[in-house]
Amino acid sequence: MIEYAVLIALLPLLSAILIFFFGRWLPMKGAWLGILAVAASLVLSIDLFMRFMDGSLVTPVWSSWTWFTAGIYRFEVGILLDEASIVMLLMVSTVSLLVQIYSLSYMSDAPHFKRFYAYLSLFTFSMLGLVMANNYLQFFVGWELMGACSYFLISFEFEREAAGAAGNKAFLTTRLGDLGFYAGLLTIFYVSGTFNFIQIQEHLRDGYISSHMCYIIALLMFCGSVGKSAQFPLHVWLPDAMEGPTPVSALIHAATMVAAGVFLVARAYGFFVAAPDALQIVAWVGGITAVFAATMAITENDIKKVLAYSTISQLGYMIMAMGVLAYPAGLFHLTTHAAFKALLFLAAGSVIHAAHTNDMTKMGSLSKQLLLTTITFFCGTLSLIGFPLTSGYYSKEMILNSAFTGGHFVLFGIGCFTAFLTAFYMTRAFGLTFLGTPRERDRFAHAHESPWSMTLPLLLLSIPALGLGLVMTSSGLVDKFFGWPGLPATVESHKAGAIAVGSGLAGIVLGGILYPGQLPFVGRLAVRFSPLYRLLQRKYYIDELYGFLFIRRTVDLAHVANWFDAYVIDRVFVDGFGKIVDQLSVVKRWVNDHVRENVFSDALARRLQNSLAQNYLLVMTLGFVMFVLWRVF
Amino acid sequence: MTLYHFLILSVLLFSIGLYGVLSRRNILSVLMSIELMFNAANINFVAFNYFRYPGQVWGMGFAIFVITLAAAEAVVGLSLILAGARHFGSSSTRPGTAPHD
Amino acid sequence: MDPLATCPLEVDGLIIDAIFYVLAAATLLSALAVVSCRNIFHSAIALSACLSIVAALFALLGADFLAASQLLVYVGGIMILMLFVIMLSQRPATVPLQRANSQWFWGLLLSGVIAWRLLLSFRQVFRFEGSRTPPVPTTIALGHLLMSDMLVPFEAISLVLLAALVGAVLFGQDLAENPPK
Repeated sequence: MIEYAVLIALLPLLSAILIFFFGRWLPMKGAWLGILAVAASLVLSIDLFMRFMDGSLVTPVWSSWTWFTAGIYRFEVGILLDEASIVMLLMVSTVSLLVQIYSLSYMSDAPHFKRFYAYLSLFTFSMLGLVMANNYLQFFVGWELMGACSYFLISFEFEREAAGAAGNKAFLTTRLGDLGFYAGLLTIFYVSGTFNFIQIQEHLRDGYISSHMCYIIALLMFCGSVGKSAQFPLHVWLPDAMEGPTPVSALIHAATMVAAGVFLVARAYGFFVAAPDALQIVAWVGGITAVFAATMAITENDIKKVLAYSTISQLGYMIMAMGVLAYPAGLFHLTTHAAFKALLFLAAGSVIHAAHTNDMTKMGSLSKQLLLTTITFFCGTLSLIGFPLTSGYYSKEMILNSAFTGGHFVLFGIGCFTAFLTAFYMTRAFGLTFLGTPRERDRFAHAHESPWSMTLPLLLLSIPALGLGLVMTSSGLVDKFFGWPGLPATVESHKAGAIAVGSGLAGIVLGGILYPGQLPFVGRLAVRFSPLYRLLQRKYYIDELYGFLFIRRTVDLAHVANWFDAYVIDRVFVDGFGKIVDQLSVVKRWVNDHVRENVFSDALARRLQNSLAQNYLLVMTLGFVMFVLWRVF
Repeated sequence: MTLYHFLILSVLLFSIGLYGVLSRRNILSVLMSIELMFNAANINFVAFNYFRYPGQVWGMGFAIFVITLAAAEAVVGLSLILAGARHFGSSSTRPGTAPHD
Repeated sequence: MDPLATCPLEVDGLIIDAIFYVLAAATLLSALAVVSCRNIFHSAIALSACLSIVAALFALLGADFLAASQLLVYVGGIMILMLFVIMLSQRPATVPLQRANSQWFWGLLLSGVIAWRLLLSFRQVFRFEGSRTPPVPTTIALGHLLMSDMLVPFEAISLVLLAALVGAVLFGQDLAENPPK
């Protein structure tokens, strides 16, 4: 009965194919086709959601088709609908639809407009296919497709060198993590003989998989997650990925790509629960990433990069939540984050569209020109900061609360500090962009509010960014959707809540005092603490470190190989043979000059070396004859 | 009349064709010699079909393909010869030189 | 009674042998003429004769459809084309000057070696093989074969023919007189 759900993923794929091959001849280059397909997916997702809510759809339900069989093993493609995937489907198709509508105006002048929509649709298909997958193999297919699509989209403006390099960086860095994921897949198949989520879950429940194996698998899976979700130390690709068009950033960093990493941990959570040591590592990686990225965001002047760092930081929160056994909180934060981060990115895109720059130091006072954008950006900021009663507040509170009540006090401290930093840098970004006095008059004068197809998605996204958390918490949907059997129930701790909210508010206050009113003072501060400032500006020199450790070494290796090719292969072998032939020709000339002239007539030489095409045929035949004779005798 | 007889015939025909391909001066003659070799192969196909697999037609089917391919080859070859003759003024197998001796 | 039973090939084995030897000799003689005639026009005529005789051999082997297509495609199609090309491309002065090239001796030697080698092998393997069976009509069976088991090669050949056609048109046009637009 639920087979029709497969359409949710297939419709975007169909539109991608149609746009790719026929978009050239369609009105609007086929963009409406992509929007229509995602809209249909959204309608189907809502239908599923409704049926789940009124109880006519009892989860988990699955359905599968045989993909191929190898020996006794059957590999399948299928759909698995459980609580998490239903919510993810709804979230992905919503964000994707709004992003596609938004792109109509934002990308209208871009060359390769058709290709952009084809990629967007393909990207959406990959994520939806991944979310619905009922086995790891299909999950991996969607995962890799998404990697490829993100490469295409990040380097979409490949005419600029930076965009191409960013695409490469994203692709290669995530690929490093994928290696772990792939090894994890093989290990899973080795220990259980299947990729099916439900069967593996049963194996885990029945204790067929030793905790040692679970530890290995969990860590390998986590590698993939670290790459895709940009966790430390593989976070370097995400800030650079801001080279892609802003709608792509919204799609990649809100709903799809980075969410897939967290979703992988959620799907493989059985392994993690069975291996507490792995959970420790997960929690710490998440916590370190969260605070690490937040510090880098403080000094960043590029509005998109600030948001990129905040994405990394929030993903750190989610991973940390997974690590402290707060599975519901992690997925809850993933959902709310998708809403407010998509909103923030799209609003930032609207700002960039109006101001024609990413640099916040060149903006200022834009609220006077871009009222709608300002309001919606403000909603997103509040939610991201975790201002009480917004969406982000509930999910972040839940994570910190779980960390506190779970006894992870250091992680709780890190989380609160991160909340403080988050509030500070988001207030800074808001202040620099929208408040104060315009720092560049021309830019300010030419900034105009974006067309409705850009502001409408902003308004629509503001609703979940503000209200989703309240609705889900008050109606108990969080536990209904994001439950994991056997986890400790969350205990409300007012102390933890107060500390978290307090640190957030402190960040807002500090940020509000400094920006935009005290810019000269901030400038003096930056000079005063210039080593620290530069450290943050250069992202802790991690790019340089990787460049020195890995890239330079690779280049060195390439130099060695080049030297070997130039001096050993070319000099000894290629040139050597050339010299031999040279010598032979000297001999031949000598023979020509002395022997042929005197001994032979012209005829023999001409017979050996004539320009007859059939001469080659003759030699070929001779070779064939010799082969035949050799084979027989 | 046995299979062996037909094989002898096809071998001889093939060799004559091969000789022609290797030694003719005019490229048209080379093309004709190739047709001879094709025919030798066809005789083999049909003879094996007839003597070894009576009642089946696979050998003949392949012979039809050979004829078709020969036709395609001849058409392209001939048009190339025409173009070459127009270009070089001769259809010698030694392009660029005027026919002599 | 089956009308095929009265087919002329159902005569005495001796007569059939005689027919075969005559046809084989004629094939070889005309083939030799193809590769040795000085006048390329004569070569072409000899080739059409050779191909027709091969068609007769096909008929002798019970390949009725093949014999017909050999006549239609080879003698009726390819040979006519060749004669046209000969007339179009040969300058009158060069027509009688067809001779062997400088490596004819080596060609002869190598073809001789190959023939000898193959004959030796065939002698070992097929010396006493084969018995004659009454031939049956093959056209319907061939049609079924081409449309079922050989469908993929059939379609592939169709593509090849199409490509050959396009190629022939492309090469055959006189670029000097009609430059491509």
